[in-house]
Amino acid sequence: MKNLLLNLRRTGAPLLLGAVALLGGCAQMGVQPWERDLLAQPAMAPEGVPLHGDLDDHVYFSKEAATGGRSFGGGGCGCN
Amino acid sequence: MNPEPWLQRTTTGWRGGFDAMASPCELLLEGVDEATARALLQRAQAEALRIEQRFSRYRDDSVVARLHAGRNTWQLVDEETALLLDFAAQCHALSGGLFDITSGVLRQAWRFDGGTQVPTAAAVAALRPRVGWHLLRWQRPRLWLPEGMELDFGGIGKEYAVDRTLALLQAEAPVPMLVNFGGDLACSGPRRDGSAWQVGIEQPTGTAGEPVAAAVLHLRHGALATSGDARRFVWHEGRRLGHVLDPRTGWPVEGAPRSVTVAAPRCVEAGMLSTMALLRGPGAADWLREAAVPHALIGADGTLHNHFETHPHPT
Amino acid sequence: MQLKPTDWRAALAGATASLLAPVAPITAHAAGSGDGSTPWLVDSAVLVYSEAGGRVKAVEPAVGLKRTDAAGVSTGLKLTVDTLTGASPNGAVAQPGVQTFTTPSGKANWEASAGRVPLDPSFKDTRVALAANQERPWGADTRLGYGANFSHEYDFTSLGANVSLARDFDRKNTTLSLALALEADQLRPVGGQPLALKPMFGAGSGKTGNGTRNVADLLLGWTQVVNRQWLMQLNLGLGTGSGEHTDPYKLLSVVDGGTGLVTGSRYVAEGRPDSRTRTSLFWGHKVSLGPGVLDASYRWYGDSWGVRAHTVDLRWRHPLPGGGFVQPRWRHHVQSAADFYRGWLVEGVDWDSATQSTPLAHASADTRLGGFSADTIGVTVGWPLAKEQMVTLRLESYRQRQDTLAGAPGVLASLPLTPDLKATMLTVGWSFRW
Repeated sequence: MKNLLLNLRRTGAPLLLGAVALLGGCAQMGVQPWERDLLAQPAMAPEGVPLHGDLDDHVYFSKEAATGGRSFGGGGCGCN
Repeated sequence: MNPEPWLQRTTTGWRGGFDAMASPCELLLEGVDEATARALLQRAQAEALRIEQRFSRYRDDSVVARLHAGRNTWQLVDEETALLLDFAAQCHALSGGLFDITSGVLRQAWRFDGGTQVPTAAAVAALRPRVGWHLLRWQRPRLWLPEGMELDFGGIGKEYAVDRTLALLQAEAPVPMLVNFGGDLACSGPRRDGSAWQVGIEQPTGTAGEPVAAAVLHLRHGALATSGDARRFVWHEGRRLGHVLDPRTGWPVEGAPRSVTVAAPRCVEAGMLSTMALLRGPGAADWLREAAVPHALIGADGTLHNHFETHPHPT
Repeated sequence: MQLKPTDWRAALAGATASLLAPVAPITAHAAGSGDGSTPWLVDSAVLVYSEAGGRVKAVEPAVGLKRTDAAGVSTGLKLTVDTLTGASPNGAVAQPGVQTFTTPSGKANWEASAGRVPLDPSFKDTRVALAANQERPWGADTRLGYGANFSHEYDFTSLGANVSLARDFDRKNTTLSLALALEADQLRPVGGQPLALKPMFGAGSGKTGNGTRNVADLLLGWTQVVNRQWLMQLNLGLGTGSGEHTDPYKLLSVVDGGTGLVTGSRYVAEGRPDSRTRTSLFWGHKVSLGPGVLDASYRWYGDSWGVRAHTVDLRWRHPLPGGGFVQPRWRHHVQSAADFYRGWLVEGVDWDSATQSTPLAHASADTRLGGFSADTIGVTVGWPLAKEQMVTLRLESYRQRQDTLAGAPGVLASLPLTPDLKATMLTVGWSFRW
């Protein structure tokens, strides 16, 4: 746990702060319910093309050390 | 089985009608033969009855009844209901909360029969927590309607039916026509000879009697809708309170005109403009003038103010 | 009223146009619409992965089913099968001569070509994974999700469960979510788990039985609609794993500090720490620009093994006439090596063959834990076959460039110690309603 907090402080925290700075403009963010026309397009879905995300996660999990991102990996494999 | 609509020949075409949405519905047609006129009339009746069946709050089999039965759960609505809810949401925002389709519940406290019965402050206060568009969740295509709340499409139902019926009939037969559902009407364009349709605005007399045309309008394009009803009111402390309720307070809007008739390209738009004007109470006339809306207004004192000639009609 | 009356009129005209836009289509829908059974959305895909140089090849078909009922409960099922063949580096360093190794089962030997990084060809495995999940509304603004997953292959089994809570704020413009996933893994290496940091073969080597590993992950998410065109997501992931992390098939070469040739105990089994804590911060954006959509994301990663990584992923989805799309993609990943990563052990410094001991707590030559930068370049093309049926084809090229290992002694300095990894990936997909 101690290592985790150290990591955050060194590099994670400045990134988080940068993201939180966006909150300053929070009052202006958002749309009315009927302004969701563009957001409703399939191209705007967070997951992208179905299954591509899972397949990518598996490939990069087995070839690289880093994990994490949009969602949890779907489960373990013996490959790392 | 629906009763057959009536049909009669006119000098330039046909005139037919039927009853729907608690109103006499009328269709004026030119440039078609009798068989086509009858077919179009039946099409109009079918569409009017379809909308009534789906969105009337008085029917057990309507979409509205189903939504009321499923309160406090997420409910999937069909495309047409979704479009109406989107429209209601936008009008609620544009009107600053004055237009609110959840305000129907207030009718439980108010009886506008010309009598003097006025609800107690407590009775109105008890209903107010159940009124408010912001209380429900509309996330297309799902609706979350909280316990005790009701949806009432009465404010836009008739105008919506007029616009849809006109569009459907025009798609089948692009001839000059006018659709009139109980005073909310729309035309496809000028008549065959290029002249305008002639529409009368009713002058409410204080007593029950034959309605008198206070003014005759010439409609070449677009639609007309009227909000307000001189016959529905309550007397309270010597003042006449109209039947339009402010959803934010639960009380009738004070100093509102008795009726407002507006012209706009679409009946739905005209209906919303006339409702909004009425909800502004004494400021109705000024607001309509600022917005450059062609209108006629019957004031609280019963006098007619006709502003149709002074504004060019939008096409 | 904030708006001027004329602006108000324009807004109302727009709202009216939207309401009345569909005329004929509605009459077809009106009869009994909104009720009835909702269909399953089926997504299927096959990934064919192939590394250059006779290395790993994998074929991975996957099928996912998803259905959302009228009450908003959505259920999903996913089945994945993956078959792996080909050769993979075992951690030994290249040598001027041929090297011989024993397979994990101990029944056969294999030879690594002279002057090349040894690639163990004995990997043939088939893995089956199954996942099920459900998400349901809980009150007006909250959604509760839960799921389980199971994965099995010859030498590894994993069982996991997850639960999540998501809450909408501000007309669903903001969503905050919390998710927890737990996983229990059982490792049954072929031939047993070698004793860590002990000789891999021969005298002094030993095996222990099966191992286990438990992983817990926490994900905090913030999704925000920025404006009509822009959706943003920020996710913080925290994870901790405890148990067996050492790869039972990987080793390190013991080389002479002067000549660079293998010596002494020759090959030593790797050893990794018993625990690993990870942090990741993901910042993703979807922006609708003109006809297309830009997907841009950055992920920072750090863990207790000393790995630090940055990943940037850019995609541009451009619509094609006829309803299809073309989506070029570039992904760039750069990571720093784990603290205990090394290319080899130096006799007398990192390893003492006489006592078969090492001053190091942990060591691994697995290039996945090394420092490298990797690029993925590819393009996806999708086109609709019929209503709500789409076929997609994705071709991508992946290239990993390892950081050069410093201080290579003797002959090692002139051998290709860290060749690039090159892989081609072809994914064919088909989505339809059932």
